[in-house]
Amino acid sequence: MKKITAQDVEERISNTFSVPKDIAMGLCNLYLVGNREIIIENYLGIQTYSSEVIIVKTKKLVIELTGENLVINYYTNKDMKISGKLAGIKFL
Amino acid sequence: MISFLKWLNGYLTLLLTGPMVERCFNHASRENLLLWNIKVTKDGYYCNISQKAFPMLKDLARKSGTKLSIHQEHGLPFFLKRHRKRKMFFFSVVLAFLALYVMTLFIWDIQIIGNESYEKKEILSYVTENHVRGGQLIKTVDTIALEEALRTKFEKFAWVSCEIKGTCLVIHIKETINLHIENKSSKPSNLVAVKDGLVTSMITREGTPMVEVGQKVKKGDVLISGIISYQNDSKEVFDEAFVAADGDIVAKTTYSYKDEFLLSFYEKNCLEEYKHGGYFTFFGKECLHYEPRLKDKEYDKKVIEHHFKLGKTFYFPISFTHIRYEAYSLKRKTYSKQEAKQEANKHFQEFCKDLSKKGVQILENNVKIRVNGDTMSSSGTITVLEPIGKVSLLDTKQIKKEKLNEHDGEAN
Repeated sequence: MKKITAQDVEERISNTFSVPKDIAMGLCNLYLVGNREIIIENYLGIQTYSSEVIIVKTKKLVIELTGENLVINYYTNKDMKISGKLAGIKFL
Repeated sequence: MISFLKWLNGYLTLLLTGPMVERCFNHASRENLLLWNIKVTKDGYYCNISQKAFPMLKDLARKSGTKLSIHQEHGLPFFLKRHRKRKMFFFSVVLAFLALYVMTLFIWDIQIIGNESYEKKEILSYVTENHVRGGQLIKTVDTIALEEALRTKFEKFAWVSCEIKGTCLVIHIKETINLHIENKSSKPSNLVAVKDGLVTSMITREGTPMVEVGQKVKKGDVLISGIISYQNDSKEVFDEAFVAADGDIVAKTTYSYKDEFLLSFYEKNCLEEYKHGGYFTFFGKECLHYEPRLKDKEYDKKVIEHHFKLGKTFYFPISFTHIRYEAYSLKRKTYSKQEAKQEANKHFQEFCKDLSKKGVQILENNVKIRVNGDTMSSSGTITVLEPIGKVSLLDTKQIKKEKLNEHDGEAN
């Protein structure tokens, strides 16, 4: 029998009560504008920052953004906006 | 707007260096500090922060082992700090703002919109001589009184509205098409004929009709009387009431038309030679005149006034008047018979157009065009259908007195 994890329980609760997953499961929100801009919400902090790679830590995931000339337009405790030429988004 | 507020409060561009700059950013975000424009270069990390939040970030940087230095200072507080010794500069800035404020308290320009029958100059001179002068305090301008005065002075104005926009007084005008025949009143009145004619249709809404359809009337004849007589069974008048006669009376009338012009005339040819002149006007006084040297030629003069203003409505008491002199030559020409006929026809069509604008319906015209030596003359009559009723107020007291005298005479 498959072992039920805490994540499965959270997902089931979210599906049963129609609660948004970012609230129920603590997932982050990503809003992309082509490959030029990305807005990230619900994160914990930056792990690495260079003009080619930005690694952002969230509650459940670690996101790696790669690209060229990456600039953080603003950085607050709620959201951050990154602009530049995005090449890839990886969930670690 | 946000960037202006940032500029107003002042902000700093910082250079952060060290092994754990990211940690410093994370601490700052947890402390609710806004960081923007974070860039990575070879020197280190550049970011912007507001002036007020900087001391907090300094503490956080120390905790995370990050070196922090101010790269650039932006905004008003730093600008003022840099120029704090230039007292005269700040004094003149304050003085300029004060002067601007004082100037907003006065009227510096008057605009007239919608005039057709009257010239702008005529209306403007009436307004400036009797009501509002350039440079008058806005508070003292009574727009309602001005509207009424304009309506009384200029008969053709049907509607006048005055509004103050910034330092400019704008007068909006609407003119009536056919005001010369006033056919409604609220006081006891008769409707009388404004000219001779043959009545073709008549509708009486109020009053006693005095004429019939098909009857010839002369100028001044009463068409609808404002006196209503009450008769008893033996057809004797026992009472009278005074009303404002109201109705539509259309009559067939005639207009005489006469037009004459010489066959030879001067034609204007623009030479495309321009000279420029002008002058400045400060607080209504002209100065710094410049007149170009004009050669021995004929010139047209075009005057364009440029008012100095801020935005659309904030006029200053300074204006520049540009005068353009356009050279032209005159050439004597003579109309051929056909050309002269065409010109005479054109004049006649314009006359008919003006009549139509007044609400007149043209039935027929007996205008003949003739060449008499070196002149072209056209004359004749135009038969039209037009309303001819005009209000003529009744002197009720006088009428009552006359009636009393009549009764007294009969009794004696």
